[in-house]
Amino acid sequence: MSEARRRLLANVQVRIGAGLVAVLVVFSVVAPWISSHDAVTSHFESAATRGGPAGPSLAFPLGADRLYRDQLVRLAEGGRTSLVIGVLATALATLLGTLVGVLSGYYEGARGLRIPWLVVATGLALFFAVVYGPANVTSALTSAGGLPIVITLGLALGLALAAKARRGPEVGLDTFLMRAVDVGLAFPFLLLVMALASAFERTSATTILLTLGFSGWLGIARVVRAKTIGIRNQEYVLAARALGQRTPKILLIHILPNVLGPVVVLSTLSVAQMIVAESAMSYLGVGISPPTPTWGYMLFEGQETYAAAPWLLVAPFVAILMSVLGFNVLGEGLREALDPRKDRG
Amino acid sequence: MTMARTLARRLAHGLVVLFATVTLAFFLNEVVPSDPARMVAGAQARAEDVEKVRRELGTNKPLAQRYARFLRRLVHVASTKAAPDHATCAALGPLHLDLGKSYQKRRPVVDILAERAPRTIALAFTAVLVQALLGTALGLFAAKHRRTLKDRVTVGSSLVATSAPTFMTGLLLQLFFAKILGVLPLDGFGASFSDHVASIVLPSLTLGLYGAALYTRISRDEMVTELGRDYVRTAKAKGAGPTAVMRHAFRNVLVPLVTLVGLDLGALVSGAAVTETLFRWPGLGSLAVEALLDRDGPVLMGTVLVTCLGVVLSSIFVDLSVHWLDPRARNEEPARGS
Repeated sequence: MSEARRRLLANVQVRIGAGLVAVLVVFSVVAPWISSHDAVTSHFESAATRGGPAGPSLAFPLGADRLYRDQLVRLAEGGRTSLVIGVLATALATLLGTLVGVLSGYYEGARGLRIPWLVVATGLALFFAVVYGPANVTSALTSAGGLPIVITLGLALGLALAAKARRGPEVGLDTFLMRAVDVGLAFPFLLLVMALASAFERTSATTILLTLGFSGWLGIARVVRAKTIGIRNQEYVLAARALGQRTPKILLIHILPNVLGPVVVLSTLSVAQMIVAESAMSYLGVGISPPTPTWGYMLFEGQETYAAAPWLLVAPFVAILMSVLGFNVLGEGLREALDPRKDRG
Repeated sequence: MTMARTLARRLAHGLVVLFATVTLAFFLNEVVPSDPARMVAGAQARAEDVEKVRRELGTNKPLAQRYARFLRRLVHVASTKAAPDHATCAALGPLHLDLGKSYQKRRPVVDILAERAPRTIALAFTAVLVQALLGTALGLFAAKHRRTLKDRVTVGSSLVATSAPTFMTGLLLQLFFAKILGVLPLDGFGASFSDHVASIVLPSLTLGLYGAALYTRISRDEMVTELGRDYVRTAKAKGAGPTAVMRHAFRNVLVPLVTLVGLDLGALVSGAAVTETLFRWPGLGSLAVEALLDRDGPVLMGTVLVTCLGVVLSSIFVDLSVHWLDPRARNEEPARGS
């Protein structure tokens, strides 16, 4: 057994976290199988008592919700949704974040694209003409999908190149990508959910998954970039470059494996954040549309009847806490086990 | 690069980021189907009235013209605020800022933002204060007792606290302090200043408990690393007590903590949507959620603008304060890559 694997298995946090996650997975997968109920059927006869929906019993271990549906099965189905969204959204975010981070870090400080001052000035003039000019100028310039603007800018670029007037601001790949990260951090992602939802006609698991995936890569990109900057001038990378290896190969073989440690940790913690984000959206009423069960919406419903039926509130509460805690503890454990600076442990 | 040049560069980049975010949000907002004219005219309005409102709002124009109109109104120069077409402007001298009128609240968006922003800023500052003080105190405590049970329990419980989403922590706090003990208001904003103070306690505690864990971990880990360095050994050898040693080391832990404070402030100034909604705190976060659910385009664009401004300014603030706190960051030329 390798040293790393031994440290991983010996770590208490890794064990606890992995255990919690395993319990969650088994519960979500198995509970709907062995139960005779499903998540969306109301059982008006068997789940009704005089005071309303039945409390915990043998037939309904966690009671029935206010529409007489089996709470246990709904909890398990909600767990499947949370897990699938958490893991797939993280996969998407990790892929994007690592790609952007490695490219950005490798090309930090490198030469970028020079935009001639002539093009910049023309662009600004066009912008002010469109925005502050009279209405007929605006409509003339933006006609045919903005073709006049494109043609004018093209002419300016051609003129600048012909006159060898190449001086101007430089936009490097790193600058561009990091400013894109800034835009992402400032962007209202609930708006993206709504836009996607109206495009797909309904807020589905796919909508939430895509939104979370496309919003969750920013932090990973920043960390991977910093890590890449730290290792790109190491001797083995320089040697590979001196030997004439192609850049994609260098990035894939020499850079990527060495940034994977923090990526593994971050993506484990990210699953927890995704589960929180998904349940928060459901709680706010912008998540997956009912009747699909989600923990956040169950919590929202349970909150209204907490005095009469506290179990309806407790069940999703415990489920969210345990699953988020599981992934958080696992992530912290991985961080500890993978961190070569043992003095921190 | 000199300080002034760095600052100028950062501000220029910030402007580009602001512009890109607002543009993206504008076009995305257009994708969401809604009929502003119908909302403004009212559900009972006659078709010709709706048509009239549509012409007034300019929503019958092509998309590019609407976008140009939006930007022209957003920032323009005017000598007076008295004219009726400047009724929804906020004036900074001759410079006018205009986000139009809310479809639902029928008030100028700049007025709504000006009313809401101080409340969110107050919440953001108290929340960051709670999480930074609580988190750092716990982190230093854990570092002092490193590799003991006290360390494990501190770090473990902060992990549990951060694993409960804010709407769950908030719910528990509401249940305990408002319903059972009855000492603090359940939610809302209150009418007098003392009401406001009482009302801000639970939401800032909710956000603080959630955010503290990160401060605990970073201050603990950084402190433990610093305590293993040579200068600490030297200080100990020269007879410095444990408190003096901690004080030496803490200065070096400050840099990542200040970075975190800046980023958190930026994120919270944009409004903690969930917490503000749960506690009915009338700030920018709950405003954004309302605007989204009501399809209130002008208000939504206003919240996007403020959010983005918060993020951009806080990231510039972070860079400047790191520059000021850490002399090493001043002299280092950025490493040139390939």
